[in-house]
Amino acid sequence: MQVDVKKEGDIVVVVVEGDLDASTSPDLRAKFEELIGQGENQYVIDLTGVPFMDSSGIAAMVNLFKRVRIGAGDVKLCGIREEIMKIFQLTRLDRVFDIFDTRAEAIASF
Amino acid sequence: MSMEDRLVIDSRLEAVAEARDWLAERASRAGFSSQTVSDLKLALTEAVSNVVRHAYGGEPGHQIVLSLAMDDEALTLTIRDFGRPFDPGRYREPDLSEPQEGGYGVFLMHNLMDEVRYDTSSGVGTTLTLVKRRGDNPSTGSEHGLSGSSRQDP
Repeated sequence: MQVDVKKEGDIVVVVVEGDLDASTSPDLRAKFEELIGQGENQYVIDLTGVPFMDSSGIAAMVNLFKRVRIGAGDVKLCGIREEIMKIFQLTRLDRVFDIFDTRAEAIASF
Repeated sequence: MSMEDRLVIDSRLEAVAEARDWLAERASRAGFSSQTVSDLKLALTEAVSNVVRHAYGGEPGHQIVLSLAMDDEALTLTIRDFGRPFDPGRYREPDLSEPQEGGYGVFLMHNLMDEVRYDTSSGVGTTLTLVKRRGDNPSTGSEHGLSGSSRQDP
């Protein structure tokens, strides 16, 4: 798995590539930790390049979401593939996160 | 017509991807729909990750034995470990009214599979059995038995 970070004004775009499971999600959590430490609180997580995600990937997203929502921050998701949408639906997290088809739509929503 | 296979992996989270690919390749070849294959990959990943973390406490160097059986009716995956036995009585469903950071693994397995059974009667470890029956899937079309291998999902 690879994680790239880009800035779009005040928004941090985190682009994830590869499977997100219990062996790789700690790297994503560490990146989130680093960004929170830098005071970032507006996130777009681009999952276009993620063909597989398990509950540890979900946990990383929820952890970030809870932490930034304590302040005025937010986490928006985009590019979720059909094959990983089901985990969001079963856990009802599709009702918690704002989910967009494209990165541009997610950025524009802030 | 039926098919059986077996894979032994080490108790490391890094080995879970190998098991996932192993299952996906065989289930796809047997005519299961892409959505069902995704469901199987997720259920296996949650199950094997739980074995690594909880049955073996995150310690590598222990065996996890996966056995796969498929026929015209269903796919049956058993996951055998020799670590601390799983106690289903301690399982609590996650509160879905609030986002959670844990506790979804077993919940997902039960929601993705048609049957989930735990057997700790051997006295050593746990045998987890996951069953997915073939059936119509409205989003991806019907699933075909092994005997209907001339037909493929689009």
